[in-house]
Amino acid sequence: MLDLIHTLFSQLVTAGWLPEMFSYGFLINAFLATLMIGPLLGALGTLVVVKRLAFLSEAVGHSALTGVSIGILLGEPISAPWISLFAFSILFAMTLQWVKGRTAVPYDALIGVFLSFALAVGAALLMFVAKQVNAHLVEQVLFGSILTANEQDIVILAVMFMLTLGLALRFSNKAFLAALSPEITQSLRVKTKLHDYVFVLLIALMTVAAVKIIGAVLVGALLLIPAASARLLATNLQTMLLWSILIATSSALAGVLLPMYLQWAVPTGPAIILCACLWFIVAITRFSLSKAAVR
Amino acid sequence: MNIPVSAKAITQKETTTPHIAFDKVSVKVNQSVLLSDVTLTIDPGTWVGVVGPNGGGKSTLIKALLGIVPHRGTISYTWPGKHKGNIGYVPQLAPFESTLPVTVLDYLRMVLEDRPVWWRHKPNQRILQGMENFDIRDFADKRLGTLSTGERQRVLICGALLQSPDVLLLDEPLAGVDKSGQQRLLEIMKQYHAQGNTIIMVEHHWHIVEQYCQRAALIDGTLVAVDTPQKVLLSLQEHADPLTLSYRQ
Repeated sequence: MLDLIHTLFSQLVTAGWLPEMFSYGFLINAFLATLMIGPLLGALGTLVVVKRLAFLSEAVGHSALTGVSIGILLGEPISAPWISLFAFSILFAMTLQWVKGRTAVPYDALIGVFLSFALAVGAALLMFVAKQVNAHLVEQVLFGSILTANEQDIVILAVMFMLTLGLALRFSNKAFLAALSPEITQSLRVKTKLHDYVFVLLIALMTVAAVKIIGAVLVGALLLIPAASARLLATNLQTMLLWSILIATSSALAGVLLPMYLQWAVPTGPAIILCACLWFIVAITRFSLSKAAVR
Repeated sequence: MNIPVSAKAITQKETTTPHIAFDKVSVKVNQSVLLSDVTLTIDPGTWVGVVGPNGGGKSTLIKALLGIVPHRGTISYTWPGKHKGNIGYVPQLAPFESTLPVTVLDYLRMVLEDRPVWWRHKPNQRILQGMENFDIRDFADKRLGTLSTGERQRVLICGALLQSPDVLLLDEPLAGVDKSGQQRLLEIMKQYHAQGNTIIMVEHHWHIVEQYCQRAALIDGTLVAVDTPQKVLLSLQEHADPLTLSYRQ
């Protein structure tokens, strides 16, 4: 399937329909990965914003750094330490959710403690990792790279895409309702605790799946900035979701393709987030102007 | 204003409303006892006013009834048929952010539909009819957080009643609502109750409990009294305790 897509791209390049850069296999992989990362993070981000869990997405993103370090130390391939990455991020997110239900500490403070812990462990382990591998590879983990996306990553993202779409089709209404009023949702006999666990699990899985393109430091930002911008532009929940998906996908595509096209030596993560920030500036300007017009 | 009457409400209501029983129910949260040893039965089709001082455990009683706070003792719903019916719930002054783009229509679709709110734009006929009946169609596209208290309560009650509940639990539904708004809400509840449904309503205004409820349950950390509103009031006057009586003002 992937070979077919690569062949198709080659033909389009040969026919002059696509720029020369699409003759590189790694760029096609990054392009395909981005087409899935954008909608997924954009859609999940709306729930992150409605639930006020921006800090959680940051924390889970940063925990990926620790997962990568553990993976490399345990001898996993440097370009794909998937087992440790998935295992640590899921463990991190699930433990956080479990502790939340068993302590009186406010959730934001609890996330702060977990974030600090994950960062401290990650930073300490990175020192060891840096001695074993090329420091440039560590940089790729932190800020993402278009060079690293391979077939396996595309398959993982495709599975995540289908899983999230399936869950969203069946449960998104009650998930949004639980974000607005957990009590009303519970009165409908919906298991809101289970919803919360699944949501946090999805955040962890998506973060890990996107970390190679966007990087551990900035992956949480693509969950947050498009949805925060969409909140300013939207008139209802449907348009908020559509705006968020549009902003996340366009930012991800621009962040991957523009530096390559213009031959700028900018990692994909920062490029994607800068594009998303431009959207945020547009959204906040439009919101301020419309507010001023009402006055 | 007519509340939507489903076929179920007309034909089966007498047989679907449950008998509710509290048996020595206590609620303890973070080492403090919010409710202790409540034993109470509520017959099908009764409108119960739950009264008592602030912090006395009225809302806790409702939440225990919903099963959203852990409790000791037993709360049982005895449903006449094989299947459990629905319970409608309107929480106390539910706050919604004014900048959050969640409209009245979004909210009703989230409550009533399984099909994603982002998937199909046209709402189902039941929601449209419900909005018409509750006189909220004009602000279907307004954000929840920008509604007045009365409008918001009407939306929440509409959402609760469109599920055709057999029991409606209301936690201070009239708080912050102006006089005309209160009248509208009470009229909705009266019609709903007239169909043979049970209402359990936390209420601070004694005259409303006296006028509308068949029974009053006085809660002050425990069940102090339960009877007709007039008899509960009388027993209060006989055992005049200024702290307990203060809520009557």
